[in-house]
Amino acid sequence: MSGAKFELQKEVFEGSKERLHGVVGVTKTSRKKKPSFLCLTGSIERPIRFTIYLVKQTEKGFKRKQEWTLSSLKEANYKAKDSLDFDLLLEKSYHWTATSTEDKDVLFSLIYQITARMHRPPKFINYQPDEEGDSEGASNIPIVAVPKDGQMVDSDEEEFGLTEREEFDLEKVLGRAENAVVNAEAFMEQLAKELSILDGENIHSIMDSETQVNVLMERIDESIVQLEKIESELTDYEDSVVVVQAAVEKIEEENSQMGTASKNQQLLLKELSTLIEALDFSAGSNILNSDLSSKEGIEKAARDANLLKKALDMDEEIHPALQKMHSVVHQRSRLEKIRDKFAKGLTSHLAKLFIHHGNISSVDNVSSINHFRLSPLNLMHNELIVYSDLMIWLKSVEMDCYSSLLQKYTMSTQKVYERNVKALFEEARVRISGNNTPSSRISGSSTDLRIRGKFFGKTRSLANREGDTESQGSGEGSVDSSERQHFYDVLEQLLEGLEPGVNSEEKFITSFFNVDGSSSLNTSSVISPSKSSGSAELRRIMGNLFGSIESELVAFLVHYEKMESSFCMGAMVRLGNHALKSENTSTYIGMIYGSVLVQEKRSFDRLMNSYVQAINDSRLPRKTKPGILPFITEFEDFAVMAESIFGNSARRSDLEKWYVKMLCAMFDAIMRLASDGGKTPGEVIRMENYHRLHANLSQLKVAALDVQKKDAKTKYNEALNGYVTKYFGRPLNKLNEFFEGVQAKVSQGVKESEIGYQMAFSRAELKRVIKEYPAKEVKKGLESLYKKVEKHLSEDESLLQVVWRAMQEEFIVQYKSIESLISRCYPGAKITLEFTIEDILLFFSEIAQSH
Amino acid sequence: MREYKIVVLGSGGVGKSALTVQFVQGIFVEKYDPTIEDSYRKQVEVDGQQCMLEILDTAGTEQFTAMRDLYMKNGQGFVLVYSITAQSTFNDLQDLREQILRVKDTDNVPMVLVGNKCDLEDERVVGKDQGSTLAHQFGCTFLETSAKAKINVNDIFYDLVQQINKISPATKQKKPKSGSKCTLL
Repeated sequence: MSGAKFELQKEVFEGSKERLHGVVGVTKTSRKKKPSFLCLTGSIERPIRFTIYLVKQTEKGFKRKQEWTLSSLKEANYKAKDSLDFDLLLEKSYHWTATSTEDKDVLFSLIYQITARMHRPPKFINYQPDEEGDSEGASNIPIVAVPKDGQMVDSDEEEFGLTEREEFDLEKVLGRAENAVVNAEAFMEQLAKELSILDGENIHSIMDSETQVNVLMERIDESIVQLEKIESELTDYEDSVVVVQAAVEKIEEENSQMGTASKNQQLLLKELSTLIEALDFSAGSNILNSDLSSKEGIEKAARDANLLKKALDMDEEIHPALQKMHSVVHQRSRLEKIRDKFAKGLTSHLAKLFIHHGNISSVDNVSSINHFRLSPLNLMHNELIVYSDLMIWLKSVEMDCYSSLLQKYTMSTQKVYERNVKALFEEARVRISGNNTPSSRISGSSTDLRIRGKFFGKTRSLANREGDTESQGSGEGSVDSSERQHFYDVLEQLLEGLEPGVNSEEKFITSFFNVDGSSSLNTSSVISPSKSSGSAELRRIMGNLFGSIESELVAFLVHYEKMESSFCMGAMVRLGNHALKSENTSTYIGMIYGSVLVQEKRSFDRLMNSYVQAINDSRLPRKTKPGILPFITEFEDFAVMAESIFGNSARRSDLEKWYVKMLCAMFDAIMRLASDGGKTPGEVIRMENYHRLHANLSQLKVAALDVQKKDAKTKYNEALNGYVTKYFGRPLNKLNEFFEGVQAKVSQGVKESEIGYQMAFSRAELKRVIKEYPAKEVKKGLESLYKKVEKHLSEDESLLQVVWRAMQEEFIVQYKSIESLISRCYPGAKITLEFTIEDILLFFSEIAQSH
Repeated sequence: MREYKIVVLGSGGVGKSALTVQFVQGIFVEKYDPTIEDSYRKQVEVDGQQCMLEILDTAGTEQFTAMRDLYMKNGQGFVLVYSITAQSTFNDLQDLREQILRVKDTDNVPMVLVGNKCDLEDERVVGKDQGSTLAHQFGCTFLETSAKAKINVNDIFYDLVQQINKISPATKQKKPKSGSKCTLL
């Protein structure tokens, strides 16, 4: 049967994870049919479930036909020991016939053993389990504990088939009874005997073990009791542990809360300490009592004031909520009170100082006048500058106090400066009117005025178009220029004298009133708008202090320029030097000078324009000989003066522009006047004036006027040639006419050699004409020409010799041309003029010398 | 003849005088002499009309800033000059324009923005786009010029005259050609 059992296990029950414990081939008792297998299995998985299967063997293999759980077995009828039949009462009664009794026994013993521990074991009928004691299958069944609910709790590893040991035992049994084959009966008996003995022993041991089992049971009960006790104890422990856990959790929570609280407290403490530190102003009321008269006191006060400001500036750092704290508000108002009080104290202290110094300085100004300069108020500056830190503080904290201080300062110092500036200009006036030359000091002013008057009159004449009315002695020039130089020197000293005072005041104001917008403190609180607005503020203050300078300077210049308009030239140069020097680029004084300079430039332009106008409007002098036109000589004087003033100054270009304009005007005027020269020929006017102009320009050596110089030269030459050709005329008039006729014939096509055959131009005719011009006549003619030229030309330019020489050359040219014509037209006639070139030269030099 | 008061403004050394002299006299002045103040007159024909330009060439250096208010008060049209070779001269114009508007108390002042020295392309620092952006911001004409190479010099002044004409037409007010017609309300 073991083969079938193995196959069944493999094919049917391995899939359903069941283990086949026993199998018995059966047929239904009622019908004769193919045998089936009745199998008893237990599930491999726990709890073990025992199942009875009816398995059919078909050609394809085994097939489960019916199944029942073992617990559903209610009754098992063994029937008779010899019989193969047996009944199982499951849901109904089944009647099977086993294939062998062994199988049947095995099955029954299996069922019996398994069901024995069940809660409700089936009822066994006609079955004696003891009889099955030596059954093989029984040993295969492990000892199993079947709990009340009928499910197996435990199962050991089971084996199918015979183990090695069993085989060994079996062999041993069989080996021991070698004769069993021979004497089976005896062997049987022996085996039966042994079996019964074993059974007996078995029963005994079972009987013996019962007590032990009982003991064991007792122990188990005991241990169960113990276990229960332990369990209850454990439950107790658990309960208490739960309580502890809750407690621990609670503690933990509290702990973290405490941590938060302490952290918060620390933060609060920190916040408070920074708050207190920020708002703390330990100097307290000390600052109010600080000694503002000593340097240390001021420094200390400045330090305290900055601390105070810092404390008050904490707004950004203090949380807005904290600012609502009563004590913060209180402290703030306390600090503010201190601040206001201190600011007021400081303001009044400084205001007193301003007034004090204002008074001192105004008394002190005599020395500054002696040095002829606007002396800086160094004393006051030095004393005040130590307060500059406090001023910065004040500006950033109490703008009102600051501006009122600024106003007070401006008022008190402005007076001083105004007075000083006025005195300075007064001194300048005194110096100009000759204070510096002690000899002329007493009687000076009237003579000075006289000299100046002449000079002024002269230069003004140019501007006032009065031309020739004034006498123009050249000797006065030196006096004029020294006078002029003196004015410029005083002006220069004045300009120089103003600079240091104004500049040092500007520096002082910049640092003391902190107006450049670049202070160290107010970086955060006051956003300095822009550099330009800072300097605009500075300019405004400076304007308040020194507003008088510009007006005084302008008045001063206007005053002197009224007397002498050309003073604006020098003033422009000097002012230009001062205004345009690099260190004055952005100073207030530089700006004042700049503004005045523009006005001087305008005066200059006006003056120059009036010169040009004067030239344009100039008329010929009412003299027989106009000679050199007045504006030409005036220009010479002007140029000399202008050169001495401008020299190589930066403003030279302004002058040169006007030079060019004036020269253009002069050229035009010469041309214009020459054309209506009355008795005097225009050529003479042009010749003389261009000559003079050219000479003058050559002397001036102004590169910018080279074009005009060349122009004058060519114009002069043109005029000279024009004059000579026009007025030298034809001392040999008839000869000239004769030869003009000759030339006309020649141009008509008559050959030169055939001229002599013409009636009008015969040799005899020529001889007749020549005879009219003997040497004596020629000389006479030349003499009268000389007189005429002499009458035309003015003494101014002494061009007579030049003109005479030019005429001599012209005469020689004419002579030569006549001579060559004679030699060509009347060759071989041996006709010559009655005088030679040597005669001509002699006549000219004789005439020139005789006059 | 109508007169036009034109003021040339800008930092020192940008070529205000060079532009003015080039326009008035047709000469390029090579030498640099800081101007104090020069005024020129020139008659030109713009849009078929004779105009007398009175051009005030001003100082660019800082000492003369106090005079600017006066110039601005008297001027009708302004030439704002910078040099394309110097960024600072470009930056200075913003303040200058603001001052003009302040003095004139109006936003509509005839003005031409001029980037001079455009012949010096190698030394260029201020881009053309920068110039046109600023001009756009100013709402005025923009020209890059060269007094040396005679580029766009006359255009500055013609444009300015046209702007002045536009803003304050001559006493004879012409009716606009496309006259507004009556509208029924």
